[in-house]
Amino acid sequence: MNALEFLAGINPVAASGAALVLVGLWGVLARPNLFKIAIAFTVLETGVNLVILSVGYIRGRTAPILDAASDAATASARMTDPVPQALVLTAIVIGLAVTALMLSYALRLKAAGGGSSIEAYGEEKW
Amino acid sequence: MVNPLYLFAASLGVAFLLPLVDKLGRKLSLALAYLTLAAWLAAGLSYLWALSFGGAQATLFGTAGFEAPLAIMLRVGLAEAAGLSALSLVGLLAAISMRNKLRDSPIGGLMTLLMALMGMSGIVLTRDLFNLFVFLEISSIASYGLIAYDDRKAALRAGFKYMIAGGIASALYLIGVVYIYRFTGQLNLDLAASSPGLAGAAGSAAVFFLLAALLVELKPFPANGWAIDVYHAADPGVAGILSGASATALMLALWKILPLLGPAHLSLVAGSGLLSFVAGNLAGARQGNARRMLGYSSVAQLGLVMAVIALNELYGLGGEGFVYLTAGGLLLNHLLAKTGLFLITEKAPSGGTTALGGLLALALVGLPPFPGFWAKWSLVQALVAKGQWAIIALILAASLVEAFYVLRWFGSLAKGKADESQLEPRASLFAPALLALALTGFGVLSGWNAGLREPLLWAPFALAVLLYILDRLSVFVKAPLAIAAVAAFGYLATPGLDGLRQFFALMLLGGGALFLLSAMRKAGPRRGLMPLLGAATLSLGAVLLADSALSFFFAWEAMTLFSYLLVLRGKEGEKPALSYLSFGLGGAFLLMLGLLGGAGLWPGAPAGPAWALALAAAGILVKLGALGVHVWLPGAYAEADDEVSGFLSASMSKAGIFALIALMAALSLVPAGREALNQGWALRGLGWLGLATALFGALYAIYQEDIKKTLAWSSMGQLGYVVLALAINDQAGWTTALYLALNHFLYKGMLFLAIAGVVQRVGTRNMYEMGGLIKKMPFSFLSVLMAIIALSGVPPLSGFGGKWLLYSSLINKGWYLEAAVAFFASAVAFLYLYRLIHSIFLGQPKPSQALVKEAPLALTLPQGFLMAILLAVSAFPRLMLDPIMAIVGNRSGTILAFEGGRLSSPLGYWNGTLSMVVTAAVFGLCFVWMMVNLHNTQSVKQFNIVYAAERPHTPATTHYAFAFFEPYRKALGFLTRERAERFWESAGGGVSALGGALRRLYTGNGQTYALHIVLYVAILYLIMGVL
Repeated sequence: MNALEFLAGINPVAASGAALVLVGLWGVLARPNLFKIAIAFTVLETGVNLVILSVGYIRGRTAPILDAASDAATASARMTDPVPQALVLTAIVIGLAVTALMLSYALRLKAAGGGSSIEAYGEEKW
Repeated sequence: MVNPLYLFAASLGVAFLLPLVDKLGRKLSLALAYLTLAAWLAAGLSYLWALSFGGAQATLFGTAGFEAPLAIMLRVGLAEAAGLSALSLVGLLAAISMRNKLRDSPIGGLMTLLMALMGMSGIVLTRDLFNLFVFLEISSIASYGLIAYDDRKAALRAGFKYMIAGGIASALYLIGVVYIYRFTGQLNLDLAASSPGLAGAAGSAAVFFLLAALLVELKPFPANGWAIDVYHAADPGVAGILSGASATALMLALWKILPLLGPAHLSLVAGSGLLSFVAGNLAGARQGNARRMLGYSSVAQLGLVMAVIALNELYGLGGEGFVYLTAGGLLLNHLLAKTGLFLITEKAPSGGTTALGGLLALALVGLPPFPGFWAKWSLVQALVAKGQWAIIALILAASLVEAFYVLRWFGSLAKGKADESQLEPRASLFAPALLALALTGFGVLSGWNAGLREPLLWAPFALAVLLYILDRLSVFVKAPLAIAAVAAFGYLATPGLDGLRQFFALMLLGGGALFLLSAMRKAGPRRGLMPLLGAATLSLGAVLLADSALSFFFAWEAMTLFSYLLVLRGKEGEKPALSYLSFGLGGAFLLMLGLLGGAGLWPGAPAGPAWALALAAAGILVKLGALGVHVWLPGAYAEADDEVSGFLSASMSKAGIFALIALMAALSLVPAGREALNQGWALRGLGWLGLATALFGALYAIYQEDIKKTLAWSSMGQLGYVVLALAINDQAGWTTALYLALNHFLYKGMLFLAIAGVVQRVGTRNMYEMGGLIKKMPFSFLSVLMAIIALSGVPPLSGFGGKWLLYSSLINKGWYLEAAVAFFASAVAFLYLYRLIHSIFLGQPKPSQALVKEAPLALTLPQGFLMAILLAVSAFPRLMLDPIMAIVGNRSGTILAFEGGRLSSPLGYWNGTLSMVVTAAVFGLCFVWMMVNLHNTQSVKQFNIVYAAERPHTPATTHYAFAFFEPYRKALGFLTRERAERFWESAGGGVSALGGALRRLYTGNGQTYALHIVLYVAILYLIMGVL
């Protein structure tokens, strides 16, 4: 397999998702600002969501909508897999909740007189 | 069975209605929330009932009118029902104890609490992988909210770290779940597990991500800093919910995905779990903050449970029933005890907190009768059967460390030392009390289930409870009651026993009764003393009754437990009790391995292989305080209450002797064992160990200023002689050992009782602060005099017979060097005995002690009783020797035999009656001569000491009794530098330093924790590649 074939074999959605996961992870590990950590998590989650979508997507098939125009018997052979899309919807909702909660934590920590760097919150240790 | 969907609906409905209902008053909201939690508990219990007794089968509930794969399935089986009940119980109790704060903080606290527990219940019930993710997230998000509910800043700090960890875990989980879906086309757990798509590297990697996410949520070392910070900082009720309920749910999630895991995954779980157990406990060893310490213990316990689950799959330890029994038992023990302990940490120290904290802490470290004890027993049993020695060693060593730091905390709690956080006055003890009750109930049930149905084995605990209930009453009511209980126990138990056991019952139960009697020396309730001393006495009896490995170990641990609490009760007992327990448990673990390996210590038991016997013997020798592992002994004996010291020395130490004898008896039942005993180096080694113990015990004893320390070291030395005599292992040796044991019981009982009276009257234990008490306390003097005559082995008292027997048997066996050293040790013993009687009773009375009276009747009465026995058996040795020789029987040839009153051996003969008569006559003559020639003495005022026109700072230390044997110390002191103490101290220091280094990993920085998680997962993945 030459390099070109290898590149062509890569699922672009999955690859970009993986790249976003790594970017998000880097943000979580390397950016001390609480708000940036929260945002890094949304990047990470978006990456994960792309990965999920990439699993359900099958090239050359249609959107998984069953209506009068489509034949129910052969639909599963002509449509992409709808389950990952449903999963992504749930994951997005959950991700939203986590992000909101993280941001509110960060706000309350700041409001209580702390800094915005996570390094300021290491009192519980050892 | 009721469909659990209704409960989810109820939880959600109530949670979202709460803001509205709250307008009508917080009380209503609280009631509604508690009702919902109670409904979950009731449902869990009803499932449990239906599945265990109602004949129901595990049931799957579909959702939205569909079945899998189209719909999410909920499963109610035995594990689910048990998990649901346990986590609802913990949640409800934690919520009840949080009620004051829930009342005062915004309604969000109550809502998140409901949601968190509903999420956890969902984790337990669902069979759908993606639904599991949803419930994981619901419980996590609600927990984040719950952590912040009372707006404490520390909780916010820790909560943020928790969210980072949770975020990484959920990303991992999603990736795992979607690829499992990709390879199997299923989200239903059961369908996915049966699909062939997971075979191969890609499927294994997908499962790995799922597993890694769950593992991270289960707080493995070192990726658990965030969890420990949360336990440390959150409200204790929240910490209890997270440590108890959430951990239960996650563990069940892990258990649930087992069908997906391959051997490589299981090895990762087992290894990671064991590592967490060891490292968590090591890091906990250094912990001063109570909640953080409990946090370390939590992650350690979870590690152990998950290791057990995985090890069962890997080695086939015993199937599903085994997992329920051990992993389930450990988890139940952990969640009940840990939640209770977290709740207690906010309460200021009091009698109630001490009692409950004690129960919960003892349960946590796996002492009987709590569930952890039984679980640990069956776990180690299964591991021994599979020969997994390295794993056993790790588990037991880490358990010991855990017991050390948990009980160190309990010790300081019992002494009323409060943590800075323990100042909450409103905290109620209702929830911890209920949890402790549940633990006890489950423990008794597990024991019953494990086959321990003899009521007398449980009698110690029953008596402890009964006397604790009556603890407010005066000791004059409780002591007769306790003595009656001991008598009843003896009446019921002893007739069925063989001669050897009846002989020991006399010392163990009879001694216990005497010391119970002596506890009446002080008026008042003397709280705690009676329940513990009574129970300790009965547990000694239970050791004699044991007829299986488990019952023996149960009784043995009960004895350790009660005696630990007795030592802790002493005024300065905190440290000695801890070292007593550490060694006691260490010894008990060795004994456990020996018992599980097949060492039989009960009548008719098989002898077992040599290594098992060696392990059991090693465990027993720790309990006996043999040289090298004796460091617990002086402190425990010296710092316990005075009557307790006597009990420990005179009675409890005999339990160790009994166990050693039972072990050797079992061994000599089989011919091969007999041969091994007779020609092996093992006995010679045992003999020298006993001898060294005797010699060094005596050497240490002579330099003590503290009278009780002297007696403590002396006890150690005297037990050394018994071990030496046992090692001779022929008829003469056995006779000697039993004789010496009984003799030691008599004189050490008298000594400790007499000294208890002296200490009570003069108020000090330093010998140089006493003197001339012969006129104030003549009876005690007489008692001490007789006791030291009996101890030192001069005629006419029974000690002479003991020494005669010992030397005869040693020489007869051909152990000449041993005989010589034993003789030297006896001479050393004479030194401390002389000092004892001289410093306390002779010389001039101290002016401050002019008004000292004779000891109270409660002390003199038992002494008189012992004296009478001592005189009787001295004058008529056959009273004592006939039964002993009958017990010993004709063991490899008769060496000793009676002809009338004369006991003869191949080397000579001894007539006790004659020596009594001769000595009495000589003494009488001298006494008359002295009385006739007594001069009036001239009294000189004491301590009129002036050196070079200056008065010494502490004139009392210029007294001759201070540093009495300093010259000997200069000559021989190098022998008594406390080497064993230093060894164990540095061993302990090493462990502690290791723990200290480990916990530096937990820097408190959330990003460092995140890095730990990422590295943990990466390394796990690499290891999986190798496996």
